Amino acid sequence: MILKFELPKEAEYKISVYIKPEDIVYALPFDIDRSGNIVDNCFVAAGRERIAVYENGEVTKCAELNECSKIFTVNLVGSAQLAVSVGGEDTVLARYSMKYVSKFAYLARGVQIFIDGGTAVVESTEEEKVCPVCGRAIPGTGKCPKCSGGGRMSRIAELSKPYVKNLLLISAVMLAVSFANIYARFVERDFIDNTLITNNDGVFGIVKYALLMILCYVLCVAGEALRSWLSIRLGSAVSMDLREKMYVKIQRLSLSFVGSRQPGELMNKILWDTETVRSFIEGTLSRMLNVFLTMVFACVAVFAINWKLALICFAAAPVVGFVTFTLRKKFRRMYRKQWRLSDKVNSRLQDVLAGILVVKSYGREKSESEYFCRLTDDLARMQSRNEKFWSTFNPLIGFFFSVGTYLILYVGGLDVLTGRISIGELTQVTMYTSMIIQPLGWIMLFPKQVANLNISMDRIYDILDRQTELSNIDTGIKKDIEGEIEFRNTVFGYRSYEPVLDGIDFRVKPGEMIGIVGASGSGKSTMVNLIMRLYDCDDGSILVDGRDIRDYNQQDFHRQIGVVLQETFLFGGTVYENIKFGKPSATREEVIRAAKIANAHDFICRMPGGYDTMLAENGNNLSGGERQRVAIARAILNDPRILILDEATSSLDTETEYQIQEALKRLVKGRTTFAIAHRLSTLENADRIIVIDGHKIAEAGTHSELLRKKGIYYGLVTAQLDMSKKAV
Amino acid sequence: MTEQTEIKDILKEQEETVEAMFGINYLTDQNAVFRRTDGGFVSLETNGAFYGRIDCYCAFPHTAPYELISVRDSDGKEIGMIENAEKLSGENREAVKEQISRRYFMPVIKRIESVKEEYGYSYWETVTDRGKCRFTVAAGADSVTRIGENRIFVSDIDGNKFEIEDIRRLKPKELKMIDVFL
Repeated sequence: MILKFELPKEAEYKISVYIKPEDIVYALPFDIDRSGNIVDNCFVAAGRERIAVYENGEVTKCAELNECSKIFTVNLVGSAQLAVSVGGEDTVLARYSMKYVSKFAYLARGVQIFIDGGTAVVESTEEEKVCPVCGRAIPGTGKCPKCSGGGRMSRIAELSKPYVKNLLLISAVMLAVSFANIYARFVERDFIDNTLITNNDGVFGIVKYALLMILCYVLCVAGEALRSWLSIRLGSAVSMDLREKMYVKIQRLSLSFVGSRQPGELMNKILWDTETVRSFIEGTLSRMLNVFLTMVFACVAVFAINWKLALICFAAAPVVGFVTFTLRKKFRRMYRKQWRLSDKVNSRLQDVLAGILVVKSYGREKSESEYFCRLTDDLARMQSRNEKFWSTFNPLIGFFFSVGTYLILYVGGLDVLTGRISIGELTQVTMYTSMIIQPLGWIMLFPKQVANLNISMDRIYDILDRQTELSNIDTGIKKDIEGEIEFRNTVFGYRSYEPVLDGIDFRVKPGEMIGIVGASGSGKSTMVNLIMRLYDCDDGSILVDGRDIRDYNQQDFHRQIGVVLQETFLFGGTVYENIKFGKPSATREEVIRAAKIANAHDFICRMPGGYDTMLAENGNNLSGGERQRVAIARAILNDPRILILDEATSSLDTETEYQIQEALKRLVKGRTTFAIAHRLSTLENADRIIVIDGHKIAEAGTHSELLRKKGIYYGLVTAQLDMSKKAV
Repeated sequence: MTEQTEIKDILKEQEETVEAMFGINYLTDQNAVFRRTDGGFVSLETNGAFYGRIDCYCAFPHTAPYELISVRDSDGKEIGMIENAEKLSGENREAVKEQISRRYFMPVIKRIESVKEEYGYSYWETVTDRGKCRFTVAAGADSVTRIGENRIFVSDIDGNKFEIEDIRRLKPKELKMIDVFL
């Protein structure tokens, strides 16, 4: 990420009074002025001694860094501001939109170093969001789509490479079908002119032409069937291919990618967008070739037969096309509105049914049903209005289609009477005219379909082209670890401008049990997420057995970690399958042993299905404590070296918690354990406890050491004691 | 009889404690002085206490931006609430309203000049109540949220938000440009 922008000459000159151009370390643009208007060409420049603000052609503010005690950013809603503290008074320097938020966060961090007397220059490894060359947005791929070349066409070409044979076959079939379609009309003409009117060949002629026409039809129908068969096969293959690729990719992407999106959004991407591609290939692509070829053939044929009729046909075509297109657009808009309303009815219904307990206990049945009736009334009214409109105007489309044909019948009919063309020719031309005009309405929808395809393709490739943020997922060393973990000046934030952990230094010996304490949102879970390497830290490092965590093969590393979370997730399947999730090769005996340690064996055996009991979605047929114990069994089956317990017992009642505590006590022996807990009594076995506060480790030591210190931990313990006393 | 009065007393006492703990401390012209500082922030003097820098958080930023304003110190702790910023007088009103408009930055789109779609992003050129503004929106309907039937929030790739107060007031040409998002 660029932290030193090129200043325009004018700005550089004005600023040079305060900071010489060669002394500027950071220079950033900002885009909101003092009265809250969006502006251009405003800059903040910082050297080692001063920071200057250039706004509306003048340097409006300049601060001496040795007089400042602090430089900081204030995050507002939709914008943020940079401010300094001079002699206890805060002064706003500049205001900027979200576009520059992370840049200014880095600038503030950098300038603070100068204020504190340091000389280091902050650099950001974060990617630019906008291409510095052309100003286009850069997708998750990290490459500008324009400047790095390779647009959509090359993607589509790449995608269809394995299917070239299939595509060629479809094209060939289509060519044959179109040709047969056109040829059939020639046969018809000859039949009318040579057999019916002049009666040259008698019955033999009729039979001959009938057979020829049947042949043409059979060819057309067979071709059509083959075409749709082939294109369905192609469409399914391509979309399956994409779905698989996306699924694999999403599994490989780091949690920060998956976590920043709604689960529904990713599901949509996998299901909906690949569906769009499939229906495009099946419905649009193959039909497009067919329609296009037929139209070209028909145009050529009409022209060859009679240019005057051809001109009439071409004059009518755009008018018909336009009218049908506008009508269809109107239909679409109407139905979209209806669809949105019915969506609202559905979601309301779902909401109320899911919350029926709440509705009833607050006595809101009547008003809820009134509201619902009003919605369905609206929907019904709109439906009937739309259907009326549709049934009135849809036949009109049919009428417009035949307008061209009527015109041709009239003009051509006159020509037939004067003997300029034959009856067969007239029939032939009318047929061709409808072949040209009929698909027009559909063709005009084509750009919209291509646009939809493009959007879906972009969204699909947004995932497929994305670089995996974690390095060494597949490579890296595989090694059985001892369980020593060291944080070295570790800095991490889910957003670069908001560090959650800022400079953590801590060393854990193998087999030690560490309790992590802190207010919610203080970064406890973030810390264990880093240990599990679901994210990579932004600065500093984490060492496992003295080696950087990033050197390890991720899968092999994960194999050696056991995790029990507050909210356990169990998959559909049997208890047995769930326990051996992390180690599919586990035998039945191993699973039972793990269940015994987890205090789960007894209740599992008591169930009618034993270990073969099918779990409902997320194990809803088990109680909270039972689910938790299954999760613990799952965690220990692997015999992990590192164990992570994130509020593992906090959602349970005291009795169950006691049982689980018992299980955990057996479990933590000899393993490096990190336990997060709100109920501090849970942590009394911990070898050491760390307290996280203000993005740092505020206190660390044994339970009694911390109590003696009378700091944050002491406060927490006494507060909880007070509460339990009151409860008694 | 005595039992009933006893219960009433307990309830009354309870109400008083709750009121003392959770009641709203209203800041009014009588008990508060808001002042704009030279540094561009706002200070507050109330009931003998002085805060060098306060922030104004709206409880209902979208539906009632000037009502029920939570006034907080620089650590984010609530000092009190303002019932209606419009009803303050003089400097108090100016300072608070300025602070609110500073905290909530969401330009209102008055005119859409062009929407260009390229490589999965659309580039909007608009005129807002805060001046001309160009921004980039990720393709698809995710970037646009409907608030009610006709009000729309547009989020750009950086997380900036823009508002269209009423899509019925857009010209047909403008509506057509943003049709794919609706």
